[in-house]
Amino acid sequence: MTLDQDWSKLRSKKEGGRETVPLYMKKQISILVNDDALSDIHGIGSRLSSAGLEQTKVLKDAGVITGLIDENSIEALRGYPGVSAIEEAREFQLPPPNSDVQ
Amino acid sequence: MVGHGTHCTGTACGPKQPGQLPRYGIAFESDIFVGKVLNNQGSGTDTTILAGIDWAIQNKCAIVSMSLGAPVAVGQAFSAVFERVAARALAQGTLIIAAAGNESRRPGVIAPVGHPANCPSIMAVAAVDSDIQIAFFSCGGLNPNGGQVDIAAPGVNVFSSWPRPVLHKTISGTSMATPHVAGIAALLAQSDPAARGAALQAKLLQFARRLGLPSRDVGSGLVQAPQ
Repeated sequence: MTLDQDWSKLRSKKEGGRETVPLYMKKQISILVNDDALSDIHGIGSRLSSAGLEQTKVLKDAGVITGLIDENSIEALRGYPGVSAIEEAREFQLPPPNSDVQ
Repeated sequence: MVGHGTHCTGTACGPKQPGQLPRYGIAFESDIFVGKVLNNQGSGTDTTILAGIDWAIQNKCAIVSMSLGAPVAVGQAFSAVFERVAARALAQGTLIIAAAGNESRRPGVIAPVGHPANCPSIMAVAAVDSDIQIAFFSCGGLNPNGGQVDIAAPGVNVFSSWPRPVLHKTISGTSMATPHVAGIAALLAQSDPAARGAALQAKLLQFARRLGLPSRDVGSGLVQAPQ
């Protein structure tokens, strides 16, 4: 098998007609909701879930929605009504507990 | 579990009369809300941290203390998401305080204040030692627009609580400096109901002791408790 064929097998898999994306192609994102759209944050969350956002969490007091989505779908979400900014989630890691500097 | 959270909470809120001396805590009458945003391996993401901040705002916490950070590059912009959240928190009476970061290796390398302390609406805390010199690891205000250090606090060889059976431990970091500021902020908030949000931040900066050190490294100076 060529490398191209291996890669296309990894990227998507047809299962009963529905294409699934492997977990590692999905990204955790933070979606900032506009100040003037905050009153509808739960509605926005529902609509984003219908549009493919998974593990959707509406953080009402912060005014942010977090979730998991196929990295190719992130750009399409940027123009969504009420969405002010979208960032991929950064990672944090503490040093080991026996480190002198923490 | 790691112990890091126990140590930080001990510094901010430890008892006035601990079972074993020395005393290590500041705001001993605080209502303590511990939000576990890092897992037992000490890992987390923006997702978990934003959830913690949301919970704190929801519970009307006057102060959020975040002894965590992710390194940034010189010239890197701050997070628009975290900045807006922090500004909203301030407007609702919640002041967010975060560690400046430990990536420096002074004198040769000074690393910029990390994420999310580099947000304009989040207070970035640097670490000084017992000689009130800047700690070798403490990040500096190299980036503009919020990337400055706001204030400094003790962060070298800090004694505080640790999970059983160890009970206490002495460690260093801007993680240890941050809860010193949070504890003093709590004392200020306790003494004055109007000291919330931006007003609380202003008081902390106003009362800080000016040091003969660059503001790049220590901001307004060494945090001080109200008299």
